[in-house]
Amino acid sequence: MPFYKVSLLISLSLVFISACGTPHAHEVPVGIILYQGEEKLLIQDEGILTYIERDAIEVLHGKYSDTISVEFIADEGHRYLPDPTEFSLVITHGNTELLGVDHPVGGDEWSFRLIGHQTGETTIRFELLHIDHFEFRSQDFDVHIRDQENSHI
Amino acid sequence: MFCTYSFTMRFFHPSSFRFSSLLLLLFLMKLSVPFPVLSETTEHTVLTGRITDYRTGSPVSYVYLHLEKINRTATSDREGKFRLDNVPQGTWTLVLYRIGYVTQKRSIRIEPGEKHDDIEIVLQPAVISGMPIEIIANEEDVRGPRLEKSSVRISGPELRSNLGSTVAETIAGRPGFSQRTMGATAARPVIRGLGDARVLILQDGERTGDVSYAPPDHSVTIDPISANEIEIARGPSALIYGSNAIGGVINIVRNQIPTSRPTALTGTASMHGFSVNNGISGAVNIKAPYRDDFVWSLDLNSRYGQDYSTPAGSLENTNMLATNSAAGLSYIRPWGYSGLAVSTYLSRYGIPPNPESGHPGGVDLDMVKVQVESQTERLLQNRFFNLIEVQWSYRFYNHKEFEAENIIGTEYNVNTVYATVKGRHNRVGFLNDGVVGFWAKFQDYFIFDRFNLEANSYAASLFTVQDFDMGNWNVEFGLRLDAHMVVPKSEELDSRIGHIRRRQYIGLASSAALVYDFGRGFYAGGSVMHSFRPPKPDELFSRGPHLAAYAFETGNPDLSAERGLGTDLFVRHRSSRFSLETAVYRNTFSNYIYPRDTGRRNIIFADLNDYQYTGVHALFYGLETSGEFRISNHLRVEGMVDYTFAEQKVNVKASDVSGTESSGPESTGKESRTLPLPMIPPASLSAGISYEPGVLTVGTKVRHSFKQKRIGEFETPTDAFTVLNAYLLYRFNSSGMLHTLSLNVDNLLNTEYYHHLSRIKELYPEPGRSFNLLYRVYF
Repeated sequence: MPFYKVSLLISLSLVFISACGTPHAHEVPVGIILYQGEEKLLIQDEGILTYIERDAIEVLHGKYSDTISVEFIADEGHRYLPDPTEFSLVITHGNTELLGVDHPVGGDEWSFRLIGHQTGETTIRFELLHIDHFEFRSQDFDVHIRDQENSHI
Repeated sequence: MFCTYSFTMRFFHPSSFRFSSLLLLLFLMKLSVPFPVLSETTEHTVLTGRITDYRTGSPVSYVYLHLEKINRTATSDREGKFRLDNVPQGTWTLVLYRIGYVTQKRSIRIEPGEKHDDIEIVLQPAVISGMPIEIIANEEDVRGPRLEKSSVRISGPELRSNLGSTVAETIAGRPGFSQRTMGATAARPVIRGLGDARVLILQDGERTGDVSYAPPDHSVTIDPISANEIEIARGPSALIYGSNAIGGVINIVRNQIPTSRPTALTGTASMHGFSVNNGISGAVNIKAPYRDDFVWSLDLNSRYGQDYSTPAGSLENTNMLATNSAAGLSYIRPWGYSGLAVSTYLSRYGIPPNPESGHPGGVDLDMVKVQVESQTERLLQNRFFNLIEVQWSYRFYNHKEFEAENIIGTEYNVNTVYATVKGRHNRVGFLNDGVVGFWAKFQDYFIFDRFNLEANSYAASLFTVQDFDMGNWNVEFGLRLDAHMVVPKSEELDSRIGHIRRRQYIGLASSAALVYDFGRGFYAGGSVMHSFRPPKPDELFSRGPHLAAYAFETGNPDLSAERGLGTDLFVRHRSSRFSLETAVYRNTFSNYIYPRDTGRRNIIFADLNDYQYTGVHALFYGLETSGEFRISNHLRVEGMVDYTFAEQKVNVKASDVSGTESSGPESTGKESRTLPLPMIPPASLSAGISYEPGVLTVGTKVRHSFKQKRIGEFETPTDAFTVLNAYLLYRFNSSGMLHTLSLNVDNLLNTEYYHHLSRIKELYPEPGRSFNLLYRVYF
């Protein structure tokens, strides 16, 4: 058999080897909201970051914060919590000597607590992981760790 | 919104493999069918001969012979004998390269029925040579402007002494050439300030099927250690390969499909070590006849390197491991030949970290390319065409960018089928032998990232390149008609980047070149090229984070095609002692497409800047001069200067998405201003001296790069720097084999400098001092 035929056959064989998953739909986050209880701490929406009451997340030295929960803002504007069987929250903070993170809280993927190891200032960042790739990465949010007497909390 | 991540390797997607794709494949198959039915009797001309030393008369082995235009190659055996099969009638240029000898060009005319079975070729020892610039030995054979094309060929000692770890690094020292880099492995050539898709990279005459034209973290999937030669084509001859290559075409010739039957088993084995990254690479290349009509080839190579060292410390995450191997088989008969080759490129390399852009540990890229290609040539006698060539190939390309272990940030999956049919015709009227051809491409393109990009691309072209002589003038011209269609998997009326839809582009590219022979080695000429470049799928539909490139890339579905008008003028002198070439050029673009750094942080990935694909009016001009002077038989000096100026015309309201069919910078009616384009190489000059007392060559070269303060938006300037390099070349014969040793010391003074075309120039300096030792044996 001439070579061009052999090579065409090999090529076509390769072409028709296929394996593919099925696309599925899910929300596209464009923002994130942090709550402490019912109180909003901050909102990052469409790239704009707004701290609600203070200019940072405040944590007391040596004490766990109250539970903080996150919520995402979809590109259509509504707020939602992703399906925890497919999505997970990755929390990264700038200085582990200053700050500790307890996550998840009570098995809730979207809740965490912070503890200040030392007084000072650092940052914290939130990423939404979908199976093996990130869907969203927040800005760096400021975290201030204060002694009790200097705290606004 | 869709997201697909449930597989690791994917060929054609069933849903994207439409009926039209099947038709295209069937059509490509049909292209190959006429060959067996061409039953006309042909007389094949085999060029055989012997090459001897001018001084001693002894045979010269391991001479690399290349018959230009028809790409026949051969290597002389230990007795100096060579054989080139299936040479059609016509006038051809035979180029001979051999370490230690003057590169020779000769014109060979093949008439029907004429025998060329006992050609005696005498090579003149290069008392000095061993280095770059091609020297013409037999003036009587090379007179005339036809041989003074704007194409350049890098082979033999020049290739050996400049051999780097990438194709871009290997050719970056030439006048007008530079390289865009991102770490050590991700590098792509830049010619006269033009890069990306404006410089077409080919392997054995066909596109690589990778995505190195796109973001800067992508590498070219060819290892230069296996290159027999590197051709650089500009002007009309570039139109054989594409309409967009206004910068030029770089063809890495590996000869994976043998075109001639060697007289015996021949090959090379190489080892190349680099101290700057404790790197090592090795390659074995073999060609051998099998029975009467077959020739097989085997090409194995691999490369390993740890992190690069710089004067400021180790460049983290620049380690790499790659292998690029191929096997080929040809069936060579009196009517022509037919061959098949299979090759793979497997690579893993790192992109240095950028703590401010979300990856403090860097990104690792895993790359896989598998290609199957076939080439068939049929000689025709007494017809309009003397040679018909059919080439087709299938390339599967996949690369994954790992942001962390098991976390893939971006994945590319590209399946491409290319087909080319070319006919080379006999002299017609006033036209010399020329080429007429058809080229087609089908590509299934998939980027997996946050939003995914899935599109099919179809392209077809008709092209011709012709030339003729008028006294001392040679005129070459070419035309290429291109039709492209990019079809996204689904239409989206109201996506974040606009209306995602099918786009079609049709354009005619043209080029003409004139060369005048003043005699005594003086030539002057010029060329004009009108280029056409339809946008790539990424440029139209991207909308995803690309962490390795430090960018969130946003396409523009409304982009129209890029059109360029390039002109250049040159004067050239070549003699046995002195050579000089000066060229000036000017390139303008009506819709120069590039990813513009908007300076805005992305809203979904806050650590990445938005890079918006934009079309702008752009202007490039510059000059390049290079020369060589032989002070004595053993001493040679050389020098080079190049300068590129580039600017773009943008709207005052910089946030506008320009270059679209309805809202281009000119059509908006707004005031526009000019800004420098980003990533433009600064002016540079170099000077070198070499001394070759015999089989040993020693030399040094100093390169000065000026400060680049003409910077694009959000780009940083780079300071001037001077780098000193040195080299030592040695060759010897043993047991009938030729051995070569090349020791290069790059950045001898361990200078800390920042390369303006490095995407990480704000963060990291270039590699420090490196001792590179290449050993190669020819057998």
